Amino acid sequence: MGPSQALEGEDLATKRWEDARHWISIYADLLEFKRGILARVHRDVATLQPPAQKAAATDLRIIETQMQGYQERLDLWYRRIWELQGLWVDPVGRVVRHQGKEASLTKREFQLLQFLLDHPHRFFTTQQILGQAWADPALFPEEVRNYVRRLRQILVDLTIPADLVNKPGRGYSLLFRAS
Amino acid sequence: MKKVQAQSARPDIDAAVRGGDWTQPMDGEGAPGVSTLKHALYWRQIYTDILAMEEKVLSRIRQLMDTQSEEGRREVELTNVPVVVAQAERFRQRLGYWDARVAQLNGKSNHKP
Repeated sequence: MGPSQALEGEDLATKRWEDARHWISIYADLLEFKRGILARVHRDVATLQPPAQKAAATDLRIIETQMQGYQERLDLWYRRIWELQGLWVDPVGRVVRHQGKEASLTKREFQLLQFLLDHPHRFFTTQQILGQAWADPALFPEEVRNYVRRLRQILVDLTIPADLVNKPGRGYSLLFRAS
Repeated sequence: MKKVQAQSARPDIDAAVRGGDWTQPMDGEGAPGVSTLKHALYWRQIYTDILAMEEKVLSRIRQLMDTQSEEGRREVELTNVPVVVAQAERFRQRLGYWDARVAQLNGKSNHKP
């Protein structure tokens, strides 16, 4: 069993989307918790002498591995909640359907939406979106803002319960709306 | 000497807890029994610092645990807490060796004419 194993009581086959929301919230909290601990350890390790830094690196590795595991579980639950929520994405026709509503997306709109859906609850800077979602770092950062605006409108039009948020210093993320 | 026993059903955590084996010195540490006073003082300081760090981390973990759901708290209790406790115990034990060595060498130097 790896660190991405299910927690006690966790059932990915659930038909209740409230369960999915519950586990998303637990893993999001755990990730936030680990980020807090990791930041603390990073700060403290920097003040130690080299031999102690090396010994303390064990703590860092453990925390990072655990975070990776939680992120994998969070991704699984996000995919599950989209299934339960009735979101259907067609990469060939670049069509998105949600509860009877449908929208055709441009290539860049679709690439951005797909990228954010594939990496839920994670923040990406403008440069990361340019390089990873579109594989074209030469594009202007304004393009990201433009496409984010367009995607937000698509989310509204299809009543998809998610927000494309922007946090200063962290970037953009697609967050499932809790209520 | 009693060693930390891994009892959980999580091999990743078991391995981490085993890393808290206090017979394991750090790189370059050497054996306290043959060290000079300068060397002993250096390693005593290293272990004092790292133990202080682990204790602060543990205290922060316990503080943050209050904000977690029941499932989250259980996970933290299973994963973070035993690992940090085992590491802290290892460093405390090693610090004890170096404390004893410093006291021994100080005692010797005090008896010098």
